[in-house]
Amino acid sequence: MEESNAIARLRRGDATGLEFLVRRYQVRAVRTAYLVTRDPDLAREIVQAAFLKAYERIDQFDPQRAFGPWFLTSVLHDAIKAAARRTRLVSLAVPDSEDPGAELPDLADGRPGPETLWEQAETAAEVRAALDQLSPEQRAAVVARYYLGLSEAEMAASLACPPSTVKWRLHAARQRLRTLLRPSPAE
Amino acid sequence: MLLNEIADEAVPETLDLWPQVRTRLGAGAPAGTFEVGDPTCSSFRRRLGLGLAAAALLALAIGATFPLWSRPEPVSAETILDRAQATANSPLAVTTYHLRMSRQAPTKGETLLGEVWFAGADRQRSSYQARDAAGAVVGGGELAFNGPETWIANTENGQTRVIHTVGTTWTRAADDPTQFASLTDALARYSGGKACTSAQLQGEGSVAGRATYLIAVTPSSGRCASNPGSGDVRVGPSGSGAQAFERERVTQIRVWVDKESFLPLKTEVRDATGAVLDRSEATSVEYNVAIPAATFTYTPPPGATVFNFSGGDGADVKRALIIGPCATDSCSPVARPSSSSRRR
Repeated sequence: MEESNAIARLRRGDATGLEFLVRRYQVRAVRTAYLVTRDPDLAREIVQAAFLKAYERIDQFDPQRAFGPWFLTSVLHDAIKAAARRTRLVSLAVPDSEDPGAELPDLADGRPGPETLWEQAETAAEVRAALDQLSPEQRAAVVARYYLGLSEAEMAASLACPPSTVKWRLHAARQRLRTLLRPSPAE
Repeated sequence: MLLNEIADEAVPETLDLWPQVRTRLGAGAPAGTFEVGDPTCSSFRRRLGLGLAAAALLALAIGATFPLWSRPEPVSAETILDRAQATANSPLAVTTYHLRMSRQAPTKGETLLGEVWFAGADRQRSSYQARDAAGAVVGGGELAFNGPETWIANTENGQTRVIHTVGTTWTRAADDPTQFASLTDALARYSGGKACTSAQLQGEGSVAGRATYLIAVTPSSGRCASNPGSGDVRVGPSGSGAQAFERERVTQIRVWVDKESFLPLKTEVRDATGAVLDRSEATSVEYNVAIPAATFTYTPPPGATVFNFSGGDGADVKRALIIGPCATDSCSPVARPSSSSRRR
């Protein structure tokens, strides 16, 4: 079945069209949501809900465009909101935590960029831990740019943010990663 | 690219969501969306973090038509289509509610009976009564939010201690129905967090005459990003003074949430042998009821010991009560000495 055929079926309310799209995009979508939420179960839930939403709102989709980017940016958007919501709920449940949102101090310019630092990282665990320290919006910016490969203009369009906001989020994310992934003094 | 490695490691290529999506399509679960969640913009920051360990919103098992530990109900194709059609239904707009509940902790041999009135973040009242196995009243408590004022009263062994705060930032007390607009929200609520849990839709049921979704919450058995070490699993709705259980003892928590309001109406905690550690269930719930203003006022009974605080947050009050010698006349808050005082 071609994708266009699947979408046509979906528009007719035929669930086999949805099944085709689920099977084609589920892995990349869940991985995208996971990178933002850092929670595989929540990522699965977000993507399930996104497919159901796509089923309900397929009439809003322009068939002249590719389904994948439309759907994946929708997942990205929901993942940001889910991560932010969970952050809020967790913070509510831990009233005596120590200022978890405190920003790390800025570093002077001239340090290696995040890509270089990632190469220096010995294991993915360091990046994983560093990602955990970013805000959901910053993680989404990194995921959109470096995982989904979106341009800054595409990010701005998909996240419904001004380009300046996208640039700032990417800059802030890079700065934070630079801080978090810097080599330890012993190195 | 390490991002690919991280994502590949967490989400296998063999992932198959279609069975779950198909089930939810059949169950008529609204796809929903997350509300825009800017944590810094939320004005709603109330949750009771101490006291009222027993004023549970939820409790005992009656009316649960869904058999324990069973699989989701099979549905016909016609039902699937009917329910799919219903997925666009908006959630019930709840601004106030009145809920009665009971809670049993078999290992403790106590039963708690509670009642909650909710009319917003700053207008809430909860009360509970604890009874022993013979039915004798052994304690009780009250919680009242009324504008900037909060009263937390606990009676034990005939002694009533009351914490009275003005302008103190408490986290959420009772469950706020405006916080959950979809099943996705409800699932997100029970995923992750300090307890490192995951939540999945398991089926449907009925509690206190309300149709519910049944959510299975499973504590992580190992390390996870948000909780690298061991710890307790804390369960129970807001305002219930969530019970803490040793992580190793709890194998599954099940929560029944109202299909329209997404309020949790029942919780159940079991250990590996299937024994119930704790069960709470609403016995009645009414939405959008008129609640008299007097419901939210509280007057300490004669002879009660009253601790007064102003400003700060719940953690400050908690620290002052725990660290400071608050059980004697010489009680002095330690967290924010300038903002707290005590009087009888």
